[in-house]
Amino acid sequence: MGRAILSSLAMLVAVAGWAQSDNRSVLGKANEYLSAGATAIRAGRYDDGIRLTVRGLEHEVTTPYERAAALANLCAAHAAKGEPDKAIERCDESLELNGRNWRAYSNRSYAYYLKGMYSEAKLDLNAAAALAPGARQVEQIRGLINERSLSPRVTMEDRR
Amino acid sequence: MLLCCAASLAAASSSRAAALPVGTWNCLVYGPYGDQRLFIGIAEDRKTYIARIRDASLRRWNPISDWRVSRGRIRFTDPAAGREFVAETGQAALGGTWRAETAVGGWWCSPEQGAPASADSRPPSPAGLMTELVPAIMASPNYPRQAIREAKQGRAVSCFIVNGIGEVSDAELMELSDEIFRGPTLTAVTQSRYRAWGDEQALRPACRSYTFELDAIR
Repeated sequence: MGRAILSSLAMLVAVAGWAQSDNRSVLGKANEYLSAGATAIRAGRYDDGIRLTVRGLEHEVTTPYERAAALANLCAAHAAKGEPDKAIERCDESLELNGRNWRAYSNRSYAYYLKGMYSEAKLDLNAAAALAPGARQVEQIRGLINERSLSPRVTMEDRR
Repeated sequence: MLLCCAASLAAASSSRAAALPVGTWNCLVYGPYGDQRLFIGIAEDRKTYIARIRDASLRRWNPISDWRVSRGRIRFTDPAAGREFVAETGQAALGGTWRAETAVGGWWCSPEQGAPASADSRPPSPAGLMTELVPAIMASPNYPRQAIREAKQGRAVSCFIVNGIGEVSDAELMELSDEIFRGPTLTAVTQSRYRAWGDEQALRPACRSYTFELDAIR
């Protein structure tokens, strides 16, 4: 349980370079690679993080919940590297295993945002917000999407 | 000479600010049915008078309700238009909101030279109501980036005084849907100018509304 919570911490935070200062992780020895991968992603070392996480997924025994968290981490790392297609693929896999992981929705939303697919990004963001109301990352991504998808207009009227 | 006049104007303005708004005011009344210019006379004997352009041409005041002050606000009613006017007292300009049975709006006045309003006095010349204020520089407010990020839309109405050389001063917000639009609105208003239409001491009220909207990019 602790491991699962912990590995999901690294997720989206890494995406746009949002540093994760929260250090609640207590990673077990059993998932050494996944744990190291999450740490690397959190530190912004995305290539290392991806390599370690992939190795962990291949060689370590994990629960579906842990796999989902690890896949969401991969999604975050690819999105952070500017590889939205790979990110979406990983988030899809993650959500197939655990459809209630708000970070996976949030990560995929950011990946859609990178591709300019704002409607899809908003749908995922709403799903993330429904699962985690008030999550800061969700609001940050919403702001990014709004900036790109909304055009401001000011109408003046003189009263004289 | 200029110094002397400036000083006396400042003194007059300060005495107005400190006291009740007794005097003659050149007013802009705006609302959903359009804008109207008129003189409002607030007499010392608690009588209130109004003179629209036609009345001013005939040099006559129309008496309306008595004015009353409570909790720092002056109130009076124009029975013909069914409007109750309310304004804060103690300000250099006079203005606030008006309310009728089915509509609300705002009003804003600059002090007008001339004899104090009374049953025997005459309103100023209608020319003071008919001079058109022509914008020279219409500064547009920036849409705050944070408002875009938060998908905030809104509206602001600012009223201000324009002097005879077209300068804007005493800008106040009459309506503001969200604090996020306060700064850009006031900045835009104070950066605006009108074409000169008289001397520096001649004052006219004016208001400007801004609607902040966001369109989805397709």
